[in-house]
Amino acid sequence: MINDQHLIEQYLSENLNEDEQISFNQRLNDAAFRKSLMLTGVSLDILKEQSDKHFIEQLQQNTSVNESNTNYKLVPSSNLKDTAENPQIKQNETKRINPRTRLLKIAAIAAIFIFAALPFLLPENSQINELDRYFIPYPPVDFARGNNADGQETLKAALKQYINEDYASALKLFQNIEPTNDTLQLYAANCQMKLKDYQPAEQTLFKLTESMAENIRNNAEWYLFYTFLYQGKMDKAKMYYDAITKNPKQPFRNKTMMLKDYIK
Amino acid sequence: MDIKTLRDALLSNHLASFSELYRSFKPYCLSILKGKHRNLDHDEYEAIYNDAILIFRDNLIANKVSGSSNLKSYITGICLNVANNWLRKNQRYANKKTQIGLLFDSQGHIPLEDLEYKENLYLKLEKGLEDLSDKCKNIITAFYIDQLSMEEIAKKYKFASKDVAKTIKSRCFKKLQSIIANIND
Repeated sequence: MINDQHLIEQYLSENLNEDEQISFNQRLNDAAFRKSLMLTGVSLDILKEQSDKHFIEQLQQNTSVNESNTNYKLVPSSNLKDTAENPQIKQNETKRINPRTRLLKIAAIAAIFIFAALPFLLPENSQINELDRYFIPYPPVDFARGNNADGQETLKAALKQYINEDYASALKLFQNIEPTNDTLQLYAANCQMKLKDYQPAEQTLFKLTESMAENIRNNAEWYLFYTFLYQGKMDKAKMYYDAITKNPKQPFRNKTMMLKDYIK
Repeated sequence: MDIKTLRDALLSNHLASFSELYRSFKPYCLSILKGKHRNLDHDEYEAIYNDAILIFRDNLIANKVSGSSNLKSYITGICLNVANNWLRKNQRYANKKTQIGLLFDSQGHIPLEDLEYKENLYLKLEKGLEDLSDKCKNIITAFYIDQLSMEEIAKKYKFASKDVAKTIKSRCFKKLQSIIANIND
């Protein structure tokens, strides 16, 4: 009998031999084995995500150091070695040293300070404007509505108005399409949000959080969170903030986290 | 910089040249993306570019980038593909979970629902993996995800030989399995 751990290891490294393949296929009938296999796979996915994140951070760190060109102390030691071992790289990096970049760096730091201080300097409703800046309506996608030709034409017209940001006209058209569905409701709620008609938007979105479609549910949660932010209903916003950020499968998780400061 | 030198530098953990490439192609890729996809926000353009760079790195490691490729066009092409997938809400990376899920389906076994990890299980795994040393994380990712050879891993992480790397990899995998077993109990 071949050890389960060995089978999983060989499967993941694509090294199963014939005997192992047979054992592996047999072991797939066992729920505990499948669960171990799945958990190992998920662990590798997590490690991959972490590794990718770290890699991009390293690139960004190196990039910002390269752009500043003032000193290289921030470069990780492994990369300093890289420069030392590769004179060509060193030469390229030396070429980029330019006094103008020092001024640019100072300007960039000043801009960051000003940007960070803005929420304290401007009146409270500037937060709403800031939220507006991040608000992106549900993307307009043309979708077929079967043989209902009238509905299809109205939908096209509604989407056209939606794209043109004439949300009042779009809302009327979306609401006139029969039979309605969750996607249409989501568009309608987005129009209501854009028209600052938050109460009906909130009601529509709340219903959509029970939608059968995962995509609609996820979007509804995200826009509902936004609706509460707009209205200053911070308790409810916090509730949805927690729900979204604690769900690793929520596609709006990262975006929501970026708005953390607004719920304080 | 030619493809081989770039790959060698990457495999030796020397990131200066890759960082230079990351920096220099970014404005061009972002401008193309902004022209093609206007509905995204700045962070999404950045995230797409980062994903494209990661795909480029994976392809480079897997020797899938030919020497004659124009890197700027190549990376821009990846950017546009990532953006299209992004809009379709697809994932950049065909992950192991999906791969294993397909395996179960093709075997006609019980559907995946009963094995789907619960939300908190994912968080528990994330937490449990903190017990794994950085060395273990690196070697497991390099072997099982990037599919580097033991020689390449030994060189990248400065192990004395491929046998040493292999021993460490086995130990790390055992450690990973014990973490999983603890969570699974």
